[in-house]
Amino acid sequence: MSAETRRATRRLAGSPSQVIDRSRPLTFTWQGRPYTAYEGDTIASALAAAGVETFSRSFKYHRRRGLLCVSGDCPNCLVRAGDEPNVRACRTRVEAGMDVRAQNAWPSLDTDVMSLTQLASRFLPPGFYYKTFTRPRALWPFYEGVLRRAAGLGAVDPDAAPARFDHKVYEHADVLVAGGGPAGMRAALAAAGAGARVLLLEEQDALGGHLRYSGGDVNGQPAHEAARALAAEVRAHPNVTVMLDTLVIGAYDHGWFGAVQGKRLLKVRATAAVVAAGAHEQPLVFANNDLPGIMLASGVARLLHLWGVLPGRRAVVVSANPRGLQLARDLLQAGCAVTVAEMRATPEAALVEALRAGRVELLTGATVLQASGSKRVESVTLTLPGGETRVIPCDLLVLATGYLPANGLLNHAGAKPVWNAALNEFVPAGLRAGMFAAGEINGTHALAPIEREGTLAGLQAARFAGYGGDATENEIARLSAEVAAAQAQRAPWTPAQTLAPEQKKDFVCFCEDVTQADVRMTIEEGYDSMELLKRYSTISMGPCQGKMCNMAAMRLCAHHNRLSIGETGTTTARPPTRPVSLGVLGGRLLEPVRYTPLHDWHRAHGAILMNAGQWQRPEHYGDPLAEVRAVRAAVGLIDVSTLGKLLLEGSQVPDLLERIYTNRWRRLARGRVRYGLMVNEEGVVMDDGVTARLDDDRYYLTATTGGAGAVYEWIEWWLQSGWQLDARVVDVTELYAAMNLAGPYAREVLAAVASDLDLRDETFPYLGVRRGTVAGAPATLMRIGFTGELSYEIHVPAGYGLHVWQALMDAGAQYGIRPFGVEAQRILRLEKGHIIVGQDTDGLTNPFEAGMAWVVKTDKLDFLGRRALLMSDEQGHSKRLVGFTITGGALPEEGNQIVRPGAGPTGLEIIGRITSVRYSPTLDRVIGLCWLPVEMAMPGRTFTVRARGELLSGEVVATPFYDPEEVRLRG
Amino acid sequence: MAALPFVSPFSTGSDGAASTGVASAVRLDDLTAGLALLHLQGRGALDVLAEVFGDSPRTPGAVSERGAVLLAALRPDIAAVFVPAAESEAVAARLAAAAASRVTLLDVSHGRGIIALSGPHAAAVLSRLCGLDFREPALPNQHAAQTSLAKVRALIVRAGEGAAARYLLAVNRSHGAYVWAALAGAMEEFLEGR
Repeated sequence: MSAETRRATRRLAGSPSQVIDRSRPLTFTWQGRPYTAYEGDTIASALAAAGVETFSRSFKYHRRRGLLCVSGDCPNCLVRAGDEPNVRACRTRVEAGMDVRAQNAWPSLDTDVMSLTQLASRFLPPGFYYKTFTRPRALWPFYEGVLRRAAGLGAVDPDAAPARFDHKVYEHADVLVAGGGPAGMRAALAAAGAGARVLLLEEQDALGGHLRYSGGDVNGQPAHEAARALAAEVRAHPNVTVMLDTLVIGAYDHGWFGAVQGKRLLKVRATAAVVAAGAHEQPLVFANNDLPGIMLASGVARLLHLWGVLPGRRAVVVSANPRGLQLARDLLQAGCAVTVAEMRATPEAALVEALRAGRVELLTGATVLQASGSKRVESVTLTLPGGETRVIPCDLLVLATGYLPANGLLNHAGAKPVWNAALNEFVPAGLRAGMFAAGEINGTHALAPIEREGTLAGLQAARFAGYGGDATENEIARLSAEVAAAQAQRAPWTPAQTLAPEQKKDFVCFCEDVTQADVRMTIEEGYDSMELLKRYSTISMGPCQGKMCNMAAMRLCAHHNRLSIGETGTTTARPPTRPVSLGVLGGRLLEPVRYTPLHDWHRAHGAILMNAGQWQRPEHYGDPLAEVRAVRAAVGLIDVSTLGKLLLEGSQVPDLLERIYTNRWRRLARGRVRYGLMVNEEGVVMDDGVTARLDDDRYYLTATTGGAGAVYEWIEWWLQSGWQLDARVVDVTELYAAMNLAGPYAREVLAAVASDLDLRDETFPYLGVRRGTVAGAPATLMRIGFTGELSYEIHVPAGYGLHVWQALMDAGAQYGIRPFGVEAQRILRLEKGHIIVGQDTDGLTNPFEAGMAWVVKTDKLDFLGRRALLMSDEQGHSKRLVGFTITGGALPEEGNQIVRPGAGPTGLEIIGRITSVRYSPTLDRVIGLCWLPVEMAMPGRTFTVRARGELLSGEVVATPFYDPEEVRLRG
Repeated sequence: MAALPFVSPFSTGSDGAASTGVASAVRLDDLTAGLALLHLQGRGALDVLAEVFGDSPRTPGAVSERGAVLLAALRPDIAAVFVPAAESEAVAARLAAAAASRVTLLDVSHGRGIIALSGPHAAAVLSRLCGLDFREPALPNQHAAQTSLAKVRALIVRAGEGAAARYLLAVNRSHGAYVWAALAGAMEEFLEGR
């Protein structure tokens, strides 16, 4: 078959309602064979036009499935397009060169081996795998492998290029209108007319809703033209923003709505919302109701009017409302032979007359008993009044058999639908304040009442958002009365009975192949409520999410429990209303990264970078042990710009410091620096750092890299809410580049670039702070020493950081200066026994246990955490952080457990853990910090470490490991 | 001091481009080197502005222009002043004299990156990275907001409308290169085919 013949098979002549451009043909492939389409075609319309009838295989029995809804609701047309699985063919525009393939079939769509499972269907009831594969337990891995291969829809190709998803977009509106059919458009116009900013989101690629494809006339004008006229009016309104191809998928608290537009997630904030999402047309349940060629009326109407595709030549239309009869008329006009099985006793006279004029056989009071056919529907058996049956040959069975309101968004927001026995539909109730419903979602299906409800909802939403005045209120009152009167007069468009007697292969759920018998057996097993029925049978848990099956399941559940549908109730609706790919939810990756002012230098000089929170820091420059040796023997330079830095100003800063730190601050002299330890109200170690007194009322506080933000917020919170001190805190972390120059030659190197500073011990001693210039840049220098060597922490304006760093490196060249990274710093500080807050401490550590009682002054008036520390000290402590070394030199890992013989399956009891451990090149042995029971925390005590399955011997050692007299540090 | 080489945060890890995009759609310009940012904090911060400039915005988010200087009230006790770099020392001196010891005055230019995002699609680009409503009347012209932009803290000042829509974005220096890349990425769809 050539591509040309495939294209021509079922395409009708052009008409004004169609959306295809016949002057722009394109070629794509289906199952590897070329097909021709027109621009504007979907994958489904193009394939249907070419006579393709089987689009997929069903999930469980691998039965043939063809187009059913053509609206994106059902699972029947899920295909693979390019690399993307589970693409809805009916909602996806076909593109030139697109490679479209069926999924869930092997070896081919036409001959699927797994379809043999339907021969054994009596042995495969719901939950069979729960019961069948439980024994023997040893075989579960085998069963699991088989089940996993058989289950699932589509497959992700791990070798495919990653899809590129769009940025999430925030949208804001006074009134959100979900749905661009006649009700939504009227709502948008009414709300916009009252002055509200309206955002109208429509799932289809054009406004108009069912008017675009329903045929017939509206006030003497073709329906599609009426839709276009109304759409033009909406688009022309300056207060209305229209977004097409956009489905609202969820309603959340505080006026948030989620919506999907292609590969983009929209996050919409709206003061009020009108949900005019329409209704899902419902199939009937009868034997073989899943055969290709059995379609919902709205699906046939879409193919016919939007894409000019006639899906059959001999149609049986089962109708329960005027749209079915109208479609029968349209099919007749398109050249199709039509028989109508009208479920109602008294259908609309005008439509009946028109059909009879076309010699259409119309059987009133009829319904479907079963369909027959092998690869597609070939005949249908109707039940006629009185119980007589009649078989009618056909290649298309059309079901215009009622509606389920698309009320998911309302229900997400807390609405509780109630059963309207007069309409045979659920209608919304208990809507959240600010949410309004209009149109078919209310069970209203005739056009004039739909539009009236839309106008009313639009005005109500605008009023809720603060627009309109007395005139709007009056109009709302008038329309409310009219709507109420009209709703009381509505005739049902959904039949009271949609289930044929239980037979084989009469599917309630097309996604999961659940039949009437399956539902009955599930209820008989005790899963007799809708929520249990859903979970056990998996009905409504497939791609359609209940849109095709929920109503039938409720009818069956009610029937078998001898309850009304209202008493049976519905399942809980949760977002999203339709499956959404995780890539859309994730959007474009936004992962903040922070760079220090010296970042480019580090990269240019071979730094191996590591993540420190959001920061990128040099871990080392190739040889961390050499970096340690350089600091001990010569001089090194490390980028510490990531340190938190706060400027404190005001006459009461000393009071502030006394309260946030555990030690004393009132007597800190100008030009001096002091170490401080911060604990929270529970006495748990929060952070540590140094604070320098720059001037009488001016202090400079540094915090850890990881704690910077929390410390700023902590101080600001207490200043604003608790203490009302004359103290101001400004986060200046970003303002300064900071670097630590450390090592025996640090003074010489610094002196070469800081000529206005007197660096002698007498004038700039340990724990001093000075202001001066370094390489011409204004600088604050603190003589402190995390590394244990003579060192200067130099803070300069960030924009000059690179210049100062380079000047220091140049000046240090003659002394063998090396840049050093975080790894060398960790070793250097460990040799000095300094803790790292967050690594050596955790969310329960108090300073006494961490061996830092020396910095806790409980005898001062008060500080945050003092009371808790006093109490914990009274109660005693059970563990201590101590230094240790490993006998034999093996290197355990941080986090390794410290154990002793005990009960339990391993015969070991965990009594502690290692928090820091490194090989020290200075001491030529393994050193570390660990938590031990307090009775073991004394130098000389040995203990056992479990490391990578081995047991190592450790010994408690007093800290600091290096230079305990601090000779090198103080000079 | 001015002779020292100043490194813009937006040049980190990049080729140092100071602008991207096109004015007819959306454009991004690095203003960091030419625009200083002064920070005032303390209960009299807005009074200091009024004393020096004759008037001051009073409500948080309000912005007023004094020639080439933009004054922004961020909190009842915090204000920001955008001032051309060439004038910053003189302006800072006047502010310092008025501030005395009651208000902290800091030139935070080295700690921030300042970008101008301009063009008819500027608000649409921001809506891809920020949850604020950038349309009238939520964020009118001459208003500022401290918010999250691409998941990091930012000060956004609207300084233009219509075809001349322009937003000043001040972000932490360390996030500068990241924010630049995020904005450039969000601009792509408005520049395709140009």
